[in-house]
Amino acid sequence: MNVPKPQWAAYPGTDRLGRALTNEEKAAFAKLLRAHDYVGARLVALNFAHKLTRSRQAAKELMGRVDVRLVQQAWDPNEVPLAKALCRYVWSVWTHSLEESAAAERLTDAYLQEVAPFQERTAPSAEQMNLEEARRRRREAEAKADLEALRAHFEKAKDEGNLDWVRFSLEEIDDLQEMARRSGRDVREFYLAAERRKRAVQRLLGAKRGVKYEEGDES
Amino acid sequence: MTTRTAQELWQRLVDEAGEDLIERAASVSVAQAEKELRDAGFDVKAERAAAEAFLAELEQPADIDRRKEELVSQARARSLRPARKRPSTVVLLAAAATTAAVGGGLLYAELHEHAPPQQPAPPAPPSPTTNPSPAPVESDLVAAAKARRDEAFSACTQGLYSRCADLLDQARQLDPAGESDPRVVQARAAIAAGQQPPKPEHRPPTPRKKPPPRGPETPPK
Repeated sequence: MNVPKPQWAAYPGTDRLGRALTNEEKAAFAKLLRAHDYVGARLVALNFAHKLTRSRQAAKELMGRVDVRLVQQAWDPNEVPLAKALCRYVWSVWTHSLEESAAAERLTDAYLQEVAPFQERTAPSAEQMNLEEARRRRREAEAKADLEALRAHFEKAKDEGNLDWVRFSLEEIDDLQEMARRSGRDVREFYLAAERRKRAVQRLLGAKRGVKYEEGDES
Repeated sequence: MTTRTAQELWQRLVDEAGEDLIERAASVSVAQAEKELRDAGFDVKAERAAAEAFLAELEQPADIDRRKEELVSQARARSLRPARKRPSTVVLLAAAATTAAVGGGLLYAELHEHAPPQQPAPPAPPSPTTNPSPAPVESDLVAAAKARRDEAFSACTQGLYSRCADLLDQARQLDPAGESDPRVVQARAAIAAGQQPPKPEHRPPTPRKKPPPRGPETPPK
């Protein structure tokens, strides 16, 4: 006999609501979290945060930001278990941590230098729009540098399969069969390349944050 | 032809690299996570407490919202009551006098502390002259009662009579002698003038014959 699982109302998140939670919504959210063992799930996520950061303090700080994400973003308990949702936030916050802090710093500098003297203007200024464009360009430049570092790693490791994968992916060719056809490689090479690629990216992300992973201990 | 941006591809790589890690991390049992955290030097009990604190914060209404809800519920309760008789001029005058005094709330209390009352035997909190050797426990009780009374006066000045009455009742439990403090007497009068008594056990359970004057939370002027 199939017993239907209880259906929970999805939590919309304050980003989607565009406002803070009311007292009733906060209480309902707390009830939902309790029903899904938030305390235990948070320990699982903290463990993950510690494995990524290799620092108790950094892991705790990361979890503080994860709690904020949890309130801000939507979560459907019928689709994603709470522990997994929290681990996703851990990964997302951790991988964006450098980018966010550096971007915030640069934006503040840019604001003080360029926008503040014109702040009495009411309409969005050209400076503000330029700032957005500058931010986008900077992110693209950082991503290019990350990709170059990845390519350098693949070249050093003589990982031709992944070098081809990067090139095809930039050309928006995502089908592995098509990659195999164009490169003349066995498609299985591309399947196997995926595991090496994931490990390489994990190490690069760690290295940028001052974390050095040993072989096979990325998680 | 390059059509995908480096940023798009890098994000894809980051997502891909995280998939397995997230899956593996989330599949760890709570007991196993606790063990690993403990081995790594975490205070698991403190981490559990931090998680509980987050939930408690969600469950606790915001102060401003709590006050708003209090006022709204009091206003609703009033709106459901039968129409009140217009209070007599004497009641209004008495209420005006008492609430004006309480309206000064903390300022009055502050002045009161610096200038001793004119009454011959003020039933203020015990002092060395009236109670030469108070037991430490008793002085603690008096101090706790004083804190509640101060808070009650503040509540009265904001028109939160129900809260004011609760606090005064708590203070009376701790320090019955302080109930005859002029400020307390005046606050009690203001409560009586401003609203129905909050706790029936302090008044006869029969329906009120002298309804309070109009005006939901604002003291009569």
